[in-house]
Amino acid sequence: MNPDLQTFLQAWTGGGHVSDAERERVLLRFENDAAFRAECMEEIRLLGLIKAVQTPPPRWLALHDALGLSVGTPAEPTSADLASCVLHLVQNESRKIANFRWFAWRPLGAAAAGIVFGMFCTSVLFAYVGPSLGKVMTLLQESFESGPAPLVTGIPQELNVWCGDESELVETYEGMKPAQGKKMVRVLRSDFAGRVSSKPSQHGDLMRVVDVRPFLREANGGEVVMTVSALFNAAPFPEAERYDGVVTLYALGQLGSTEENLYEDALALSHGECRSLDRDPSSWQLASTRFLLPPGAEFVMMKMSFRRMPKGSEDQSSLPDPVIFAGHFVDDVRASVSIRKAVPDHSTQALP
Amino acid sequence: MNADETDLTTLLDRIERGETDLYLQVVRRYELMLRGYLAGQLYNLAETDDLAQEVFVTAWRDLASFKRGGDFSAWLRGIARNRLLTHFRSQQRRASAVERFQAEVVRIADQQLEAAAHHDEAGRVERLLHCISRLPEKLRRVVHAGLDGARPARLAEELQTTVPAIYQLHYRANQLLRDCMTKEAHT
Repeated sequence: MNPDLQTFLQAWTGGGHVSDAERERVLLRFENDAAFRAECMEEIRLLGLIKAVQTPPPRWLALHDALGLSVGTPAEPTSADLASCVLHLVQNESRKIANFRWFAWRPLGAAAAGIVFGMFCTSVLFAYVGPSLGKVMTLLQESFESGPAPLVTGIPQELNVWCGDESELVETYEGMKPAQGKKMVRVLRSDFAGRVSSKPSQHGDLMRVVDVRPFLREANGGEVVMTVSALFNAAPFPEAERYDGVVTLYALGQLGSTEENLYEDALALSHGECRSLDRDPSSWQLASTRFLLPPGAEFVMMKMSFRRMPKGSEDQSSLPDPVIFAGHFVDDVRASVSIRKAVPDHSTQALP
Repeated sequence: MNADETDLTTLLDRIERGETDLYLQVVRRYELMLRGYLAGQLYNLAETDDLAQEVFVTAWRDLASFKRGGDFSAWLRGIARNRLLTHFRSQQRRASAVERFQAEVVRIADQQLEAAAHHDEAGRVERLLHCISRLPEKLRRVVHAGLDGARPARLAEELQTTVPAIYQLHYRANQLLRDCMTKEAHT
C-alpha cells in the first residue's frame, strides 16, 4: 500500500498515530492529487460500508417517536434483512464460547418467501431489546438425567418431548464425562430410520418444542426474548474433519412442520454456533442464541445440532450423507424467557 | 419507472394517506445504503447511526417534497450531506484531530463522494457480505475488527504484528473484496 494512503487511512480512522504535520501533508495531497484522492475515497467508502453491514441498525427510537409508533412495529423484510441474514454466515471465528446473537422478528410473509431474516449483532454493541428485561423465567434445564431417551423420529410433533436424529443416552464414553449429572446425549447419525426427505442431511439434530403462548399473554403486548444454550463435546476425530455445534430457535405459529417446510414455516429464527469444535474431550463448548418472539408465535422449537462442515480442500458435496458421528455429545441444555410487559401509553388515555 | 420505483411510489402514497407504519419499510429498504454512506464519511458508528436517524426523521417530515419517481436514495443522501455538514460545523470547536480530518475530507470531496455513491450498483451490500465470508480467516478477522480507535493496536497485539501491518492486511482484504464483488456482479 502506498505509504501516504496508509497515513491517510490512519488519520481518517483514528486507529494509528499520525502527527499533525503528516496529517496536513496527506490532506494537501488529497486535495491536489486526483488519483490519490480517488484511491483514498475508494478505501474509505468501502471501510464505511464494511462497518455498516457488519452491525445491525439501531432501534430508531427517535424515529419511532416522530412517527408516533411503538418500538417493535413490524416492517417488511428487505435486502437489508437479507444482508443481515447473510452476515451470520460470515461470522466465522472459531471460539470456545460462541457469541450470543440477537435477532429481531420479522413477519410471516417473508418467511413464506423463503427468506430467513434477522438483525443480529455481537453481544456487546447492540441488542434489539435492552439487556435488562423485566422478568426472567427458566423454561428448561436439561441434563438428561431422568427422562426417556430422545425419540428418533425427526422433528417433534408434540410438545416437550426430545426428538431428532439417531441418538442415545450414555453415561460415559471412552473416559468422556457428562458436563452435568451422569448422563448426556450421544448423537449417532445425521438422520433416522424412516426419514423421508429429498434434502441432504449433514446435521445430527436434537429438538424440542415448547409452548410460548403463556409468556406472550403475560407480556400483554410487550416483549418476550427467549434464550437457549447447550454444551457440545466430541471425542477425538480426524484432524481433517470439522464439526460445529449449533443451537437454533424457530418461532412457529403451529405444530406440524416437517423437515421440508420448517424453514418456510418459521416466523423467525436465530442460531448461535460453536464453530470448529476442538478435539479435546475434556472441554465442553457452549453455543447459545436468543431472539425476540414475533407476533403470531405460539411455539418455539429449539434445536441442538452437530454439523459436519468441509475442511481444507473438501467441498460440501463431498461430505458423507448421512454423517455417522463417531462420538459427539450434547448436554446441559438451558432455555429461558425474559418478559417485559408493555408500558401503558398514558398519552392516549381519555382525560377525566 | 422501474418496478422498485413503482413499489416505492405506492408505498409513499399509502404513507401519505396515513399508513405511517409503512415508513418503517422505507427505512429498512434504505438504512444500509444510508448508514454505509455516512460511515464512509464519519466512520464512528454511533455518530453514523445518530445522523442516519436524523436523516430518516427529516425525510419523514419532508416526504411531500420528494418528487415521485425520483431517486429516493439520492434524495436521502442529499439530506444526509446537509446533516453531515451541520454535524461537522457543530463539532468544530471540540472536534478531535480525527474528526477535523474527516471534516476536511468531506469538504474537499463531498461532491465526488456523492457521485461515487450515486453509481453504486444494486446488490452491492449482499455481494460484499458474501465476499467477506470468502476471505481467508486472518483477513476476515481484520475486517471484522475494523480500524477505529484502539482496535488495530489490540488486533496487532493478538496477531503479534504491528499496527501498520494491520492496515496493510485490511487494505489487502479490501482489494480482495473489490475483486470478488466485481466478479460476483458479472456472474
